[in-house]
Amino acid sequence: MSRLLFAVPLSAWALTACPIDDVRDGIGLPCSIAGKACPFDYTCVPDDKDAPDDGVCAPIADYGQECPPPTYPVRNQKVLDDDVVIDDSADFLRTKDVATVHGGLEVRSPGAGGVFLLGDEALCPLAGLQHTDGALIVGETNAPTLDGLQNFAYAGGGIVVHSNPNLTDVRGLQNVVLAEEPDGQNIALINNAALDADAIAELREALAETSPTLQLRDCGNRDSSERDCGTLLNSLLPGGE
Amino acid sequence: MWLPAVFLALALPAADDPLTRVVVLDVVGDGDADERAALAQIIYERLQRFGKLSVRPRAAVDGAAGIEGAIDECGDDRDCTSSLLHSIDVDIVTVAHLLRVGPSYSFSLRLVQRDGAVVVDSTATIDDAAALRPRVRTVADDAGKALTGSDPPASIAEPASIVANYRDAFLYGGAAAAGVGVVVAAVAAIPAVGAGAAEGDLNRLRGEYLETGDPALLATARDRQQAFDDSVGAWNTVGVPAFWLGALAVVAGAGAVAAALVVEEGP
Repeated sequence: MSRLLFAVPLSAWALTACPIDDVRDGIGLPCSIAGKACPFDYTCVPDDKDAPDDGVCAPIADYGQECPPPTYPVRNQKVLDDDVVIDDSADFLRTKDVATVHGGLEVRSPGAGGVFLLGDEALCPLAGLQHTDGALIVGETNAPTLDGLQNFAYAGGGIVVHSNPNLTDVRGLQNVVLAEEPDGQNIALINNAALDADAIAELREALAETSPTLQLRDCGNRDSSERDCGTLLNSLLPGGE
Repeated sequence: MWLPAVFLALALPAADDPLTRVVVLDVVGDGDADERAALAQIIYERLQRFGKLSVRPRAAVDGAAGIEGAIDECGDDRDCTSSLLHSIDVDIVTVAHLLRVGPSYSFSLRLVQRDGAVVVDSTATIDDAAALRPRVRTVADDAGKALTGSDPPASIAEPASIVANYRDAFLYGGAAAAGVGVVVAAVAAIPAVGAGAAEGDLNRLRGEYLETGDPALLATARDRQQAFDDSVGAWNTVGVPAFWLGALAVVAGAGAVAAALVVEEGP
């Protein structure tokens, strides 16, 4: 009887041993714009014009000039459960390899009206970030580009990029597929003094390929026609009206 | 429930019963020396299976060299035989004689006590050389049974005898099982190979896509992903159990073939 007790599970184990570990490359995996995410280091691109929600995962080809591509395959992705505020380099270290934030994520100056002086890596430590339940906000930094955000795909609370005086390139957001709120201004580019119309047009063009329903709001940037953005900005930042 | 066990215990010899000491002498007569030595070895092995006997070959007994021929010459003269066995510390000796008559053989086996009394005497006629060893095996078994009054213990006799009695079945059945096992394992492994190929294709497609940015590669990759899913599904649900069953059949079949090759054919 005791032999049977051992033999049955042993046989069951033997008959199911050696399954294949799924370590395949993510290229070609099905995804959807509405929420079925791609693995890390991939972005969802539409593959059928008749079904715009359906997509296929494509490897991210370019992480920009500022950031090296993440090591592949990336295994140690982290999840944070609360809102995250990054206002010094130590915060950046804590968010390295974070893929998902169940809250908002804000990069900002530690003092009101100041500028967060990013190190040489700029926003590259966020290269693993794919998803925030809340808003993604990059404000009051000296970042020249948004390189490092190429993996970022979903922002439940929208994306706000504001008051970055040196910012000239926003193509780091080109793989965003979903930014749910606020309606009509899913991606808001506000008061970035060096950001010209061409740079905004480049992002708009890239997003039109993958996420044509995303709305991009341009206010207070170098060539913007809309100049008075204080009220708008206040409404988009945490605690705003 | 306990009653049969009591009877069984009473029927068995007590643990301290002295064993009957048997010496297997060389086979004398016709045939070459190697063949006769092989027959003596068969007698030794068959008698050794009986638990009530302590069996030794003649070579293990001091002062017995060449005694076979002298005993054979004694024939039915009990005193003659007794005088020869007097110097050997033994209860029983086997006296075997092989006689060749044309293509046939006559084999006799006697178990002789130290006082010259013959306690078992059997003779067999064998039609050809191929049947000689199996027949000697039977004669030795019968002699052992007659001497001890019982069959050899099942635990000792059965494994070898099952293989010996069904040697062809073990040999050909085992080979067939091993062959089927190889085929089953190979077929079962096809999905795993397919998954490996799809995985390799995906790695290659990733490299090509990063190099060219060709969107057509994504459609190809999507098909390969589906192929990978199908292959892994088939492997994990059917392939793994089938592969292990096939491997088991290979091992069992090879074991049966090996056993059949090692164990000599039964009577």
